[in-house]
Amino acid sequence: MQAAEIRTFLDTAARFAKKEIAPMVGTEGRDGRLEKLPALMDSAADIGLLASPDPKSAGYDYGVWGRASLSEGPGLSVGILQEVAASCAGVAACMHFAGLGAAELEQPAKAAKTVAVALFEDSWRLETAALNSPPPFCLRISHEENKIILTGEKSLAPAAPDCNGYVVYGSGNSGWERVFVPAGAAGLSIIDSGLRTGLAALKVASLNFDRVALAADYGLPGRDPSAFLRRLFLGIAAIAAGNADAAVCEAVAYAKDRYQGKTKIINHAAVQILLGDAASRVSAAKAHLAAVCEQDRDDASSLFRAAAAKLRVTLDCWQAVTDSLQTLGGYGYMEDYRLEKRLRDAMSLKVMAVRPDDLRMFCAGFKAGEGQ
Amino acid sequence: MTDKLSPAAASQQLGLIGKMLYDVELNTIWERDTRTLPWNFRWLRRKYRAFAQAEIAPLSLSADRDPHSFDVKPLFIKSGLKGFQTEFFVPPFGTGSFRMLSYSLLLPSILKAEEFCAACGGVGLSLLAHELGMAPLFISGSLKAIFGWMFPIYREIRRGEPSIAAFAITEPGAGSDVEETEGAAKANLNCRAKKVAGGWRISGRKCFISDGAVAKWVTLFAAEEGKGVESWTCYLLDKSMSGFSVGRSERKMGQRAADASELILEDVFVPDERVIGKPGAGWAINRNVLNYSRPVVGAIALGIARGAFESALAFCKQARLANKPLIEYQDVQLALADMLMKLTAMRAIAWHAAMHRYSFQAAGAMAKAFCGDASWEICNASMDLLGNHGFLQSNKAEKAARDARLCQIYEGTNQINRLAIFEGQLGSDF
Repeated sequence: MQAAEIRTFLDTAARFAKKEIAPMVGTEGRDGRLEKLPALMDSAADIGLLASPDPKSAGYDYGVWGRASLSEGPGLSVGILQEVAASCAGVAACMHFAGLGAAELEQPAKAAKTVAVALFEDSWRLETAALNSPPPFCLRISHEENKIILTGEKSLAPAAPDCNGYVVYGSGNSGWERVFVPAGAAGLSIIDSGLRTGLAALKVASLNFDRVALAADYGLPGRDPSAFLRRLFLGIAAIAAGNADAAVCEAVAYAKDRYQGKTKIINHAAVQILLGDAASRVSAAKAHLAAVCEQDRDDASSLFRAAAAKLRVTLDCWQAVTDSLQTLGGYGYMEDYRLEKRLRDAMSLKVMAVRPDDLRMFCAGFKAGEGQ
Repeated sequence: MTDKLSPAAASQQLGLIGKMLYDVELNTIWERDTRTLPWNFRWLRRKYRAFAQAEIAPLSLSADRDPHSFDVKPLFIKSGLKGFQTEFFVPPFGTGSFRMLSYSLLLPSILKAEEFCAACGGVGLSLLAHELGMAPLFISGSLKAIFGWMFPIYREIRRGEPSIAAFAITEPGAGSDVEETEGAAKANLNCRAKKVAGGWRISGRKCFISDGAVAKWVTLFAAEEGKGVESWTCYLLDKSMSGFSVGRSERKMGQRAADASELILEDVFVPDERVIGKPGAGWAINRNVLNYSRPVVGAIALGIARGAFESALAFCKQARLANKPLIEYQDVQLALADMLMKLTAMRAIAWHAAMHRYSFQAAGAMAKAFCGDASWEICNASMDLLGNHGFLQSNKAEKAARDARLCQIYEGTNQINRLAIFEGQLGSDF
């Protein structure tokens, strides 16, 4: 896709976000009118923003984490997620996790419209060694006659609300193995996480596999989770950046409009320091993200850069959102102005998937392994 | 081998005095800190904690999830009967400790705020806001207010009535303005009082008033028609007054159990005897109330952060990673240690503010701003530590973070509080 085409596509995403998503978020209710979400996701799929494993779908190539992202790089997907997150980080997260699922399937899975990926577990943490072979305690995938058997647990896998299947990573005889598991498979319990801080549009559930038995053709070509992780980290960082960028814009608009001591608050030093810091953090985060997308390859260095981007961008954007909220004082804390929703989403993005200290140690593992 | 080198084992090699000087007990910082207090305050601190754990903690998650179904009044009555809502004065007028007269007026409120808010920031605030509502009666220094209003309200509470007071200064167009002098001088005040025969007629709106919907009494500040904040006067209103109503109850990010409401005044007649202090003394009362309330907000922030730390600690002891409890990992210990160091620093600054016989602006502002910021950091670190579990409501860390965020905003934003440290003190060498 040429630069002009990319711009046009991103403009489409921005228009869709403003016209369709922003009204859904609105000002009523803690997280907007979530009952409208399924229809919204269908609209996103219709205009090609949402990737699908179905080659006939509009977003098969250029939707978020569509096939083109494998050959042309993650820039377009990251751009779409930023545009959508400017209106709602939760909806952007739904598109992100649906796209990640689609990218895992080499061909349309049986009766699966929207797929999520289940990798993480509470019993192990992500280390660089896990890229070569699954960690001990990982969910076990075994083969008995013509069946694939899954036994174990996956912790808090995020998914779009209409998710009807999971690509599950587990430990098999030959290292990492992947299996497509329909949501209704016998022996699979899907336990909803309950109320969460933010990203309320997402469905987050723990998965319990009690000897789930599937036909052999549910198995997918085995591979380590590097490519998935790269996309996962970049997408979360993109959503954080889009969310924070919009938060800063909203805080600036407020500061230009409101007075304290008969002076517009934008002219107060305290507010300028808050907003200047927030704007510079978001600017750096976006530049960081763009540079990582530019250098993205299917290699270990790219995974390191994506992990570092998730760590830094989500932290900086969380700080930018909380500073933006502070600009509004008491109004920022109230649901009406929606900055508190942005902050709750930013808090969630910072801790989700891999916690900050684990990411730091993961990044250190890469640096320690360089040159070996 | 390492067992023999542990401090407890190694200390056995010392003589009697050496053993006495070497404290190797398991860390119970709460208990050790308590022992540094005079015995009356030790007893109070334990009493506050017992009440908070028995009565407040069980309500925490449900009150946050569904604040509009939560009614603070039964809990207020219980805390009132325990003597926790009438502590500005010693017996026979109130239930305060005699020791506070010689040691610290503020310390009981600081201790109470930490314990209540460690159990729940929202429910804790709802119970603590009453003292803020009562403070102008005391701080005005008016014997008429103290004997005529404060003590009768205390009697109602001790009889088991939900005689809750709220403090109303914030207006829709004047939030930070009423927290600092320069802004106040130019403030666009909306709540106006007009002198009439036998009293005043007040019209206008107040917003974000803690306990505004549940309070029976409101200490409300209004400027005279056509005048600025120098005419601000404190009035004691009650909800039965004609023209006085409650508007919308705010939907907040955190501290959701604590009501924050809009108060609407439409030509409310307030008799002269309801003027607290002198007419025009409102600004002075307000500023000094803030001097005493800001350290308490610091302690609220401290309590919320302690609650977050305790939930993170419990999680790390219970959750296992590769067959080992999380707490055994050094990275987890590093994160918890950071949180604990900050908590201890917060408690030090809050207690330090209380050590002054009379609170003053810089002490109050420093305690409030430092603790507000540190609480937000600790609660977020607690969420970070829990990872994917950190943003689940059931683990309490995320609620603590949402609750903590308000401590950087109310009682003057932390920016306003930083400026308050220097306000009128540019000639000081500190």
